[in-house]
Amino acid sequence: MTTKEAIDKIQTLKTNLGRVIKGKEAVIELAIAALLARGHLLIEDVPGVGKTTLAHSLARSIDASFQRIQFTSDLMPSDIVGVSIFNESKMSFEFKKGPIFANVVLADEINRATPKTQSALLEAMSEEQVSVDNITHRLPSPFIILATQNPLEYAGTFPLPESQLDRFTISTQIGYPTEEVEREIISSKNTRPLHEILSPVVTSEEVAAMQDIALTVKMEEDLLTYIVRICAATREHADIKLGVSPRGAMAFHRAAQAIALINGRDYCTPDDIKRVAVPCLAHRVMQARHVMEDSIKEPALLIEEVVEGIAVPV
Amino acid sequence: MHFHTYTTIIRVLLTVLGFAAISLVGELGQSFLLIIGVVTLVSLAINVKYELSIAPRLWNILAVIMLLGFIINYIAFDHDLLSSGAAFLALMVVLKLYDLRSVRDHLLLYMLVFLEIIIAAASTVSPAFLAILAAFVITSIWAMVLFNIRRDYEQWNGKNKIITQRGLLSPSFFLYTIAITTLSLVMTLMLFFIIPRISSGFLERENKSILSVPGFADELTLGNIGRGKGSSKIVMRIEFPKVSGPPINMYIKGTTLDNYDGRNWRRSKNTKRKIEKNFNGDLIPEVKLKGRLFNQLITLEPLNTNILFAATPWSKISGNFKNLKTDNSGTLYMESKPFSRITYSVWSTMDGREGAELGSAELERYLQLPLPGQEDTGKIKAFTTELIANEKTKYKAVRKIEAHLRRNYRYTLNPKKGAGKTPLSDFLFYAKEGFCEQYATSMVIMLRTIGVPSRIVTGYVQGQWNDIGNYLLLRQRDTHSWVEAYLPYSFSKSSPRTLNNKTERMAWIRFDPTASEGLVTPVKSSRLALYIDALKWRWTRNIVNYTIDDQIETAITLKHRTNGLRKWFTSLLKQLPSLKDKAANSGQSLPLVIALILMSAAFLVVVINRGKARTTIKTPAFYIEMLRILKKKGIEKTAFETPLEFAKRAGGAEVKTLTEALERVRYGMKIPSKSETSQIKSLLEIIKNN
Repeated sequence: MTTKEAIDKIQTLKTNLGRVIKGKEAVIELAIAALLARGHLLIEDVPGVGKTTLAHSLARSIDASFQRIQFTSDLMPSDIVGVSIFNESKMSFEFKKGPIFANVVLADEINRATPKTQSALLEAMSEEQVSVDNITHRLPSPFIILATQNPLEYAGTFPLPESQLDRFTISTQIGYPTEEVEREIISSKNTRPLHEILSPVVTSEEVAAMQDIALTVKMEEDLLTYIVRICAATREHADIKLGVSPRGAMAFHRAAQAIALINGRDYCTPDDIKRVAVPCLAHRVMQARHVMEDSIKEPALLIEEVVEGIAVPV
Repeated sequence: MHFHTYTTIIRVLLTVLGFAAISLVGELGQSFLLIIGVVTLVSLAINVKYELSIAPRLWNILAVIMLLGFIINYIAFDHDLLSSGAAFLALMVVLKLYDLRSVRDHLLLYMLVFLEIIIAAASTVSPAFLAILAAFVITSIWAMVLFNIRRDYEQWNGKNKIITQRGLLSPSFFLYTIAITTLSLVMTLMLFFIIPRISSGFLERENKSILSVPGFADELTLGNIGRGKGSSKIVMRIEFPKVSGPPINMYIKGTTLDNYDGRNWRRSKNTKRKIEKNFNGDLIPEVKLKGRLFNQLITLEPLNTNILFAATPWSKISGNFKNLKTDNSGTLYMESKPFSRITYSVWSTMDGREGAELGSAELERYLQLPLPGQEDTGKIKAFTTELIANEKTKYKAVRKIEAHLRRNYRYTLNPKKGAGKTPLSDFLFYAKEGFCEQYATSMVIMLRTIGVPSRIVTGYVQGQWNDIGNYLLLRQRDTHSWVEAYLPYSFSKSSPRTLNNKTERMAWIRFDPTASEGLVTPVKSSRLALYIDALKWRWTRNIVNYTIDDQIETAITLKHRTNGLRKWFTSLLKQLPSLKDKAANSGQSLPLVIALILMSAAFLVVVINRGKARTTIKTPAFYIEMLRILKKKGIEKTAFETPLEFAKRAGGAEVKTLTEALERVRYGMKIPSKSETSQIKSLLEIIKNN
């Protein structure tokens, strides 16, 4: 697959998703970016704005195995990764794969599960493998987790630990649709589930190839420095207790490359970097607790502030 | 580099400079300096490596102990505020290295170093101080810049965030400040030479290291001068303006003594009188002199005597004296002992003949002999009479005695004791060895026994010529004593006549009976020592004691020099047509060749630097040009805007197209095609004309 073909394929994917998720091109691009950067996507928003629809649509657009896990407070780790069951006929234990063994996994309302269950995802997300009873099982490739979560203030939620948040390449919100789009949505005569309209437009092999091409997107030396400086600045910022980790910086870099490819370029620009700064970094930082609780800024705001303070290499 | 690295460099530099300055304070002992130096270096090493801090309370206690130690040292032992203060400061700096927590602690350290520099300024005129001061100025500029950066940074970003900050400064920060500081130093120096000053030197202070010189008090015990002969402390330096070398037979007279009691010489009491000044304010003697005058520019170290030294007979003295007095002994007295170096100019004939008219009472004084118990004058008289039996004139008789002493007695600084019971008879008849005092004293007593009025003179001779600095160095070991005899002297003729000729005038005539070995100073100092002294001297002469006269002289020299340069240049221009033929074998074109080489070197440097600059600035020229045009129109890009954001703000399709081109070239690393280049050019034109 050439770069040109990859760009075309991405366009097709975008249009396909756009048929279901209306008026949200930016969110769609970020979702595809997470896919291309070999990362995982976290969608955080209030119920009913289309989180699950987006995740489901993306999964449907790829011709690959798909599993959906609905996270609840009584979900156990074995419900995700699988269990060893004693097979009486063979007189031995047999591993029964859990729903995580799929190319695309939709982890719906991830923060409704207990931290123990959430942690079961850790190894899978970073190493694309799971270990049960001392045996390591490879996960299929490509592997992407599309997670949705409700805002933390909502009842019955367990906040995701920092280590897990750090493993999501991109965290994004969807937001309410515009008046025009909302009219269009509610006046729709369609009664089938939205994702059923969609047909797969890319194969899992094509996704793997696109991921490889995204890695080759050119990143000029000074832009690399720009990325490093932004990350370093989050660690120096007075209002940030925990800055961006090197893993975060790596994800930031890959996401910028992916966004450049989505925008039809084989090279990165400062705008690509700025564009993914908040989705890539905001969920990785922790605000410092000040005496004045009012002065706490949202992480997204802090990241914006940091980025606005770093000179752009021209 | 980390910001932290910069502050560490500054800290190390300042501490070392402070110690270097302190080491110039002469009163501190070598061993103390060595210990403090080692402790400072070790503390610095610990500080840089481990950043060790001691508990604040412990630190406070130690500081108080040191303060008490300083006060006790000052009151009970040292008595010198500067040296005890210097020791205290050096210790405080070491202590402070273990208590560098906040910015304020660093400032305190810098302050301590600054005080060290101030103390050094008050105690030394060493040229090394100039170098230390220059380095301190540069380093403290760095420190101030860093301090301000840190303060501003912390105001916005929180405490101590800056420590690990990289890239705030580049290493060229040091280079730029050095360049700027050097420039301002050069400018200051130029101003220093141009602007007239009210007072000269650094902070002046009462000099406590006054050199004690034997032989110039009202009393002189035999052997005193000889004891001082081992010392090589510098007493004075003499320059001879307009003469390329030192005159031979330089006798710099200090004082004369007339009363001898067999062991000590004393100066009899006589009235002092003021020396008159002429309309120029120069001091002039009572008797006018004729003959060739030698000008000496004497710089006297602070000595424990108020006697002024000069080659005699002198005809004019100019210097910053309120009053100068003299008496019948011919000694010149200042009003008080000088506390610092003094410089004055003397004009004298140097032939050692001072005209004088003595009354009978005075004549008697110069014929005084020790009492029989004090010295065996009878034997000396018999010996002398026998010695001069064949001489027809008194002058020749005196010369005969001088020659006898010179030839037959061995010069040594450690004479052995002979069988003689009194010093002179032992020297004359038994030991037959000694140094200048024995020679001169013997001659005076011998002359007095045959009725020639005479006296002993103490002063300086010989010295060492510093050919690097073109001045004569007189040290304590150059102290000498010789004889003046009161003899008739005719000014019209060059030789004195007999006593019987009443028409002739009388004069004090110089005789030196000391064997010539005594006059040859063994040269111990190496070339390097001479060079260093010359350097010190130039420093004192041209910087510390720089006067309005020197400024005028410099200005005149500069004018002559530039005139010469202009003439050379005009003649060169005239020669230009014929220069081609000459160039091949002419040595005169050397300056031209040098100038050409320098110019081409400068050109090369510029070209190389330009090449460098091109590689460091990656922004395409067309984008810079676009930014420039837009800036003129009032739209300026900030450093924090991406090109695309700026393009949106600036508006216009042309700007957008150019920005896209920039992104391709700058970030996509694509080389623009020919059509693209021409498109860019036309777009730039459009923006310009809009």
